[in-house]
Amino acid sequence: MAFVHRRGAHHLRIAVLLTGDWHTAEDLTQTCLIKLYQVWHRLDTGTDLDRYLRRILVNTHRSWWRARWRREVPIARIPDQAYAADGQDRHALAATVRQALARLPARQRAALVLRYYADLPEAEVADLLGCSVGTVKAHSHRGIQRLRRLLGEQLVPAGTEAVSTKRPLGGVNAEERRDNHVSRR
Amino acid sequence: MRHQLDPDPEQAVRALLTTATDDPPPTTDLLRKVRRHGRSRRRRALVPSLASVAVAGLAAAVALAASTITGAPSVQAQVAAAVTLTGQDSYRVRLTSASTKSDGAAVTTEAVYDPVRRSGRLVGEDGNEVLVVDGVVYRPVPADQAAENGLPEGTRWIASNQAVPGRTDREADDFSELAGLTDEALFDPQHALERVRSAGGVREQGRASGEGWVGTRFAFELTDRGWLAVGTIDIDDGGRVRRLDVRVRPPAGANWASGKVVMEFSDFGIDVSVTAPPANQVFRDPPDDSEARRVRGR
Repeated sequence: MAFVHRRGAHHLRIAVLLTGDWHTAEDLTQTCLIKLYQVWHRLDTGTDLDRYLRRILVNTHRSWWRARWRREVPIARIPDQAYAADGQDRHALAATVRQALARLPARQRAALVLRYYADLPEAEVADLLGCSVGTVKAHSHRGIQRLRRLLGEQLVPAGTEAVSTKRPLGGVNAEERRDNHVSRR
Repeated sequence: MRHQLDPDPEQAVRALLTTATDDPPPTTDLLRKVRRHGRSRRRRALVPSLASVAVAGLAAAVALAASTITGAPSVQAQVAAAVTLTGQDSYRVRLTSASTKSDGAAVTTEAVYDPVRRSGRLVGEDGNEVLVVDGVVYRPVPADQAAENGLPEGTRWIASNQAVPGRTDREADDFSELAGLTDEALFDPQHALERVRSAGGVREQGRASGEGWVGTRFAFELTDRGWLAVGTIDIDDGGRVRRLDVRVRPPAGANWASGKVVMEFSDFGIDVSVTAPPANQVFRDPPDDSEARRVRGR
């Protein structure tokens, strides 16, 4: 499936932010691709596959929550001190951020990922989560506050995120920034 | 690599989320389940379902038999007797586990457990307390998470059966009971211990000792469907298990995490008083089978 080769990595990254680890993320993405595969013949050519798969991801992850809750091992405490980014291994930072994300309530985590990683408009995030735009704003605001408490102000500075709804600089989303970065190497 | 800090909190979060996806595994196969799904659909079309169940059952029996390799009778018998004796009294167990799934970070849990009543209490590093009463595991749920995930008002606990593998795990072709050893050790330590009964290649490694005991160390191996668990078990001179150290490795190329579990047993006969939470605070997790049927659309 050309779509998976082209966009699979993007959805896998969304999945790892929702689930917290690559193993589960791969499992979740594979499961969602089966669901997509099962309805493939019913989709018309105008279907936005990214949007369709994203919805399956969010819904499947939600349905997994209860089943996985009982299997989660109590996790180790995140260091109270702000993460000292200078000189630290980037993989360690990636794991620390995922660990912090995993400690957020599911809705806050999903709102942050969809809003700030997938760069979806608030209305689309609200549609995916089945709530109002106001609730998305509240989840995003609280999610950032909680991330700040977990990771420290050094990584998540205090600011005006409460009312801000701005798009990223230049309208470039996180993945596009990554791709630009990679292509420059 | 230096992390670029952004003074704007939203931009900082965007950058952090990007960073958090910066270390993907070297190889991923997102179409693995789709291909397997396609194959199983073709198989279902060709083979009557009852026959499939019979064949699967036979295959499982053969696999189980193949996984059990008889070691030298004397050491095997010593280990089996120690497992039996340990299961007759309550104990304290300190469990340390690590998995490539959690980037190798070790997690330590303390528990008191009564294998006869299948009841106990365990506390994680974060202070979360999990109760086990008559084989039912009660995990605490924060009120906000209960509410936002649609659980009935007042829910403070999710109850589920001890050490039942997750739905997605059991669906995998290369699933083995060894895959769930870490969870099992956590919520049903005696059952994890019982697995050593069927170990092969049991051999004495020499003397072992710990706080307040001396004994003997035995090495063993467990195999099942390409999975390999190697470990050691320490048995004190009184015939009780004092330490179990197991490393579990999935089949080569399989999409599973490797793991390690160390269980240290002490304080035999310790009082284990635990009662189930009030029923109106408990949400009973539906059985995995019903969920699996729902997801599969059967």
